Amino acid sequence: MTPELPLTEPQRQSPIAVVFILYRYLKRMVRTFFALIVLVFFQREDNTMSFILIGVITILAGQLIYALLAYFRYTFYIEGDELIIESGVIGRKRTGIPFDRIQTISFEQNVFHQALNVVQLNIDTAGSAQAELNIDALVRPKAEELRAFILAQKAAMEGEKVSEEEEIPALKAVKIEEQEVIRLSLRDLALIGITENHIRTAGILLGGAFSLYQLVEGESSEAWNKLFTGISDFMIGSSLLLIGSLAVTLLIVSFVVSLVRTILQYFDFRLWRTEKGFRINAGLFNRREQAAARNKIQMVKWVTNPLRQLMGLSTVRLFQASSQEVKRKQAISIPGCQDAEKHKIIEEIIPSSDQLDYREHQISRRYVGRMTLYFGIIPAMFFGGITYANAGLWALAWLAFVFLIWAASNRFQKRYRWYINEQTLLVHEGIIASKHTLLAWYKVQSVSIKQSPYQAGKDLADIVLYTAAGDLRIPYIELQQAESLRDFVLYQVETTDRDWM
Amino acid sequence: MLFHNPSIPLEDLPALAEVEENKPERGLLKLSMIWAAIISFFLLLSATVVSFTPAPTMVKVGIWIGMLTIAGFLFLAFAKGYHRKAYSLRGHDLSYRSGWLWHKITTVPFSRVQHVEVDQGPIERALGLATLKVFTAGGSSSDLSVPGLSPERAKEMKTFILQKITGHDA
Repeated sequence: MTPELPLTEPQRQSPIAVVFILYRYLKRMVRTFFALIVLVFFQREDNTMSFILIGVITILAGQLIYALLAYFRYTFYIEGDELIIESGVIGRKRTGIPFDRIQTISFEQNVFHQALNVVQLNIDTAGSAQAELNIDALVRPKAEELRAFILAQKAAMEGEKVSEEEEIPALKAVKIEEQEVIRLSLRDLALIGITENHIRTAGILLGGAFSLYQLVEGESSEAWNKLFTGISDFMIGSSLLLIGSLAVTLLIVSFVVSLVRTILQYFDFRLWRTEKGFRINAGLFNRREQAAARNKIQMVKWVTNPLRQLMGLSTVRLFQASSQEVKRKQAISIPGCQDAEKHKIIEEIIPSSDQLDYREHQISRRYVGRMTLYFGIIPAMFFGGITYANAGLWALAWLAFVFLIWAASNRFQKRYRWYINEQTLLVHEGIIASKHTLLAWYKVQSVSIKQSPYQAGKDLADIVLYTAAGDLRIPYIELQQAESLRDFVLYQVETTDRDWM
Repeated sequence: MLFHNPSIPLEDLPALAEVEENKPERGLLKLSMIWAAIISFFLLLSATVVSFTPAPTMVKVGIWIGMLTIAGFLFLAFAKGYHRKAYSLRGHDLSYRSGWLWHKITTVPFSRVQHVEVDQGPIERALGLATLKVFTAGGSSSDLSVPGLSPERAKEMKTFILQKITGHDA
């Protein structure tokens, strides 16, 4: 059963790990002493310079020695059903991770890893205490060996739990037969980048520039202040035409940024079907490898926008169970899925979800009025009041804002559909984009019905379905309908013999 | 009929709304009032502190009125909130209802429970109360906590749920 590798002996990482340890220490130092470093560059007095230089060299040497020590004191090995990691330069720390607590093992390679031909091993476990663990640098064959071994052991353990007599060939699981499902070429990536939501990217860029300005403003550095004051004076002094051309420039920049970002993130994207689910590998400088086991996926979403729809492309997102709330949002993204591939992936995760009759439902019209009130009329009255005090009748421009909010809520309500059948819930939503969420009933953890005072008066309610990979809320449906839906979900969850994971 | 479901007619499903609800212990009302009093104390303390500053009388009066209103509202909301709280235990799930203005009712099936806990804070202990906490894998917003139980009742419920969980596994 045990492969002929001495994993039970304490092992070290690849010596290259020293580089990463050192890098981490330096990064932390730079962050802590950032102000001091800036000071050095601005005050160029020879005496202090040489003094500081000596200090820096001493600290650097110290860090290097520390990193070397940290490397030699870091060992890992397998003992029984646990992966043990021992670390600590001065104090000794021993962390044991039982195999059955390990959720996923993934590889990551940033640009240095790629250059030095090593991988970083990330181990995610269930449980909030010691949720994640990284091994900085391992040569690839060793990392793969370790992963295969742990996964095989884990599978064997789980097999034993199910049935004692059934022999699980542990070594067979090591050789996972993989099949490539999707591979994105540079042309595909260009298409995905071009059809990105550029207005959103522009907003993010603008927000970024603004916060950078605020940061500089806050530090009140003389030179920066002058520069920005100059720019803003120039802008105020110029005509609307300039603002218009700036907007166009911004859009072009966003376009380029979207394109570059897509290529960086999804370069040489590959999706494999594995024995247990899916695996992806993507990225230019920062190459990541993520695995999604079929039973761990709790929800599937697919999103498309009008441009992409024309080309039959959508992004499929797989949401996996995780103990950390932050991680839930980092679903596995499969961009540029053709319709046929999309159906195949969904079918793989939730089999025959489209073969049973779906019943179609909408949400209440009252949703539109309420959203217009909360997000349109009330803010418009507040800001309109301020505008009126300063610029008189210009305040009426806020009416356009109210109308915009109304139009958006109206379209949202008109397009919102939820469908149920015996196995699944399917929600379709989106104002311009089109987003589908598919959830199998047995994945639900708990159910809430919520009512605001207004909803209580109108016999309306929101229903929230909680899963281990995030929540799903259907807003503004009739209370009675929400209650029957809840009873139905509970019935499904309580009568199923399928485990949610 | 609200929605159709071919093999299990909806009318035959066990409806949660028909299940009898249990009220929390009377002591929970006391506990809520103690909390309202503690928060009000700090509200009024801050108003008193402002009174000793050289702020304009208008501002001082405004702050006093504001703080008194909030304190009064707290007592009202906590008292009303107590009367809305209820829990119901069925063979396969636990539900808890709460909220005076914003209603909420959450149900957790036992087959999805990861962990059960009985908690007692210092004031709860003095009043002879306990809180039952039920955790699922759905994250903090999906967890359930039922306050205002007698410690015996809380322990009974915990044992009951734990039995159900292990029963499900076997």
